[in-house]
Amino acid sequence: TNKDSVYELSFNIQVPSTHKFHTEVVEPWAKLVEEETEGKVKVNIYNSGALGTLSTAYEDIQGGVYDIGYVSPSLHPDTELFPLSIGDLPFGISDPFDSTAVLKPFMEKYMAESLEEVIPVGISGTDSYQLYSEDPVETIHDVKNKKIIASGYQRVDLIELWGGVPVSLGLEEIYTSLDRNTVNQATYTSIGAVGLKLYEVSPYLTKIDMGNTALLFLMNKNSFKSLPADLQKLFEDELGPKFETMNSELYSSASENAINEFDKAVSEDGGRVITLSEKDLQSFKEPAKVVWDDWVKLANDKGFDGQEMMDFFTKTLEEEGLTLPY
Amino acid sequence: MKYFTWIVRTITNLTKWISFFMLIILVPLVTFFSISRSFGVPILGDIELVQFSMVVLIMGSLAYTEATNSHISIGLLVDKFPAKVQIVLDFIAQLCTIVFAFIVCWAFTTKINLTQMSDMLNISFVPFKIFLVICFIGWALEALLKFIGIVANYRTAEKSE
Amino acid sequence: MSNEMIGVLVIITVFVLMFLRVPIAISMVIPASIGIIYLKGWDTLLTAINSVVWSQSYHYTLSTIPLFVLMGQLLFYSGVTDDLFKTFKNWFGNMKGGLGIATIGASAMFATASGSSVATTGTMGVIATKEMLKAGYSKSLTGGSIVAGGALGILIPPSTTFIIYGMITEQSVGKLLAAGIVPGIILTLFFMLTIYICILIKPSLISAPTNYVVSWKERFSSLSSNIWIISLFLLVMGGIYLGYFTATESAGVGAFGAFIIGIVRRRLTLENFKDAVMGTLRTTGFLFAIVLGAFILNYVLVLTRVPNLLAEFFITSNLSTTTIFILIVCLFILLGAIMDSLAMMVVTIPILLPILEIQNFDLVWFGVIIVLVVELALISPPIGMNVFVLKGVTNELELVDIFKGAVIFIIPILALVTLLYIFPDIAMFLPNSMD
Ligand code: NA
Ligand code: NA
Repeated sequence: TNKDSVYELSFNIQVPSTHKFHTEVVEPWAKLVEEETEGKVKVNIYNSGALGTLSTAYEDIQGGVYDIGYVSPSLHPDTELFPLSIGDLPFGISDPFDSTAVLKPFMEKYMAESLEEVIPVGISGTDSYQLYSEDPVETIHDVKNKKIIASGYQRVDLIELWGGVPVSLGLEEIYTSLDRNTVNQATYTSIGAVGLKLYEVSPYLTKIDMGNTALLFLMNKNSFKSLPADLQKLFEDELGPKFETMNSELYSSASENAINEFDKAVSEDGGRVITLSEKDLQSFKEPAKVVWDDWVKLANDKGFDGQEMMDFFTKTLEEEGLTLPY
Repeated sequence: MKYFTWIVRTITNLTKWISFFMLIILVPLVTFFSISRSFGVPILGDIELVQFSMVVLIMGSLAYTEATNSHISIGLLVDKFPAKVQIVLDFIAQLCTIVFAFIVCWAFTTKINLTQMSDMLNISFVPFKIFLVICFIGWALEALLKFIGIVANYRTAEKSE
Repeated sequence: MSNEMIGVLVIITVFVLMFLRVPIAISMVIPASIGIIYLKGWDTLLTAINSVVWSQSYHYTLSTIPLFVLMGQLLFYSGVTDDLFKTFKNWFGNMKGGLGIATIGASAMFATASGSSVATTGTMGVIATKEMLKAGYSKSLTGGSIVAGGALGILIPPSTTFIIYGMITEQSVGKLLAAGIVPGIILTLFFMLTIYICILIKPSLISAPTNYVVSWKERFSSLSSNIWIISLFLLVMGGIYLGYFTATESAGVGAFGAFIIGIVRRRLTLENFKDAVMGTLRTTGFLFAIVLGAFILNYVLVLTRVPNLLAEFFITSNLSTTTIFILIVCLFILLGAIMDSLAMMVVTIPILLPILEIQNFDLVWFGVIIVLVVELALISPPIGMNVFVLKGVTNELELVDIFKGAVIFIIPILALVTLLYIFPDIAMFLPNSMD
């Protein structure tokens, strides 16, 4: 029948339908897919993690709980995704376009063979993480013994090295726990912070650009294989890269605006955006070296040649005009 | 049969008491976390410890809940049915329970990731998932035991009639 | 067969199994599993179950539930409940319908320590039934007062219903609990008023004349047991409200406090303590079995887009916000008549969520509405959990008597729902002041 020629794909995202990632990336992309495939593929979007949370995203896509989704490789360091967690090393990559440029060759070199049950659609990232707090953070002493929300094992380690106490909480708990002072500070992207209205509860944003989170967009392999060959090729050559670009454009352009918006929102009540002196910033960056070194050790433990991977990574970083934090 | 009952009860009691002590420990632990934080000394990984306790607490209570008939069901209609029909329906209910427990055990044994660890404290998930599987086996066995009991009771009732 | 059709079939099968006395958790999980296998295959089912079972148990917010349940159990086994009833009897026993009013008052007070309506009903039922029948109250008024009082258990914080609702809708549990306080007090007064009016209209509801004389000295000395439970409530809710504790921490502190109270009053024996913990384990077991089942069912419903269809229907139908509100409340009343209240909530909220969001309903405020409708479901025939529980703990009352008496209490609940729709601030004032 006519209906059989339409392939329906489920796309699970963690944000509500009001979020810019939905309105400016996923929804337009779903439309584009429909147009480019002449209606043969229909993408159904599921919001607010309706089909699964980020913490089980990789297993869920592998098992076909949904067809398309994104994973944060640092949340799955015990799986084949581990190599990509290098992209979240603190003060490494801050811009989503850099995430694509640096991590794509990295993935092709170290993970091409190892990915099971999934097909990579694209790789990009969020905007850079900043620090939000109830009291101004101007030096590293202002984070000592503070409870700080962090996600991903590298940022958790870094906060411990700063002398803070990292806490991992679900997205829905960040606002309330800052409001209730059950945590004192949070690290989060500026676009995300404005989305969660963190300016209402933590009047200070310290601009430390501690790096972003790499986002790997994946499709379930069986779902992919069920498409006819020409459509598969379309996804690989056009739709996948297009998705990367759309995501990067959003996070790259909106980040500066978000910080300004935050500034405007808090300035009336005496809050502000804090820019650190080079010296103070350096004291935040310095401990990151241990996290980078630990990554090499961890990679060795997992049977990779950690140093060789790190060398390749830093070489690509430098080729892209980025510098190491220490 | 005696031997089988003994095995089932042992599993149920074991998981029940583990769950029991987990709950007793959880109370002072959570109290301590909050007091400690109020005094400016937050504990690393406090939330994670509560999360792990929850897994133990919940899973450990499942078989015991079955053993004490505390899993809620709606008896409004069936209570009025003839005894034979009730037996058949109970058979379906217990069978469904056993099937569900079996699927969960299957899922957790085939999908287990032996290297998975928690973010903060690097606690391995593996012992907790093994405990989870044992608890679901316990639940299924309790359901089976109950079904055998129902049939046996029915037979004796039929004979005495 | 279309996906939507499968979604509908799954829902129907869930209902059928439930009515065939299959445990509720299992009734949800079996049709859901078959649906997932049909749509996505066996491997996806295993993955989905693996994800759901783990992430719903490895859960921080939900740890509030066993801790709050334990708090109530400890207070019950420390004899605080007996004393509560005695106090209210001392103060109200002498007036028209006094024992009924005392039952409501004592239930409301116990609700500040108990997170569940069923537990509140069961606890108060044992004491209040004997006293009220002895004083010549009709069976229906006795039963009605107790199950209505018990229903307050989930509106007055702490409340397992609010906690589970908060988890499904991703709302702050602290705010939800705070939102229940004022409506809880109002509903308590409404219930008392209902009893008073009933007796005014139909004095024959009490066969023997009320003649209960207590000295003022006795009245005041009996207040002491209330001081314990009130201080515990202030500690728990004040801690959440002022931001000293998370909801989980306050539950831990509350349970710890209840334990201390039991020890200080020398009423908590080792045997009692064991019973309290075991009771908590049984509640934990059945509650979480239902939560796990509901989330697996929810997955197949989302997958088949049944919620979206319903939302689209409401959008295209161009109904006014008030009409939609009334429709939703009616839907819950209908479902509540035939379904367990917890199952009703965990199944329907995810389906309704898109509609609520489009209508711009405040989800904290709507939580209070839901809890009220769940209360209605708990006392209305033919399936009213509170009524079943009361029947279970007493031999003197028949189901018919209790339901007959309970139906009248639907009026104050609906009155409060209407009041909250017109003046949402009644519920929202406290949570909003937390910002
Ligand atoms: Na309560
Ligand atoms: Na009902």
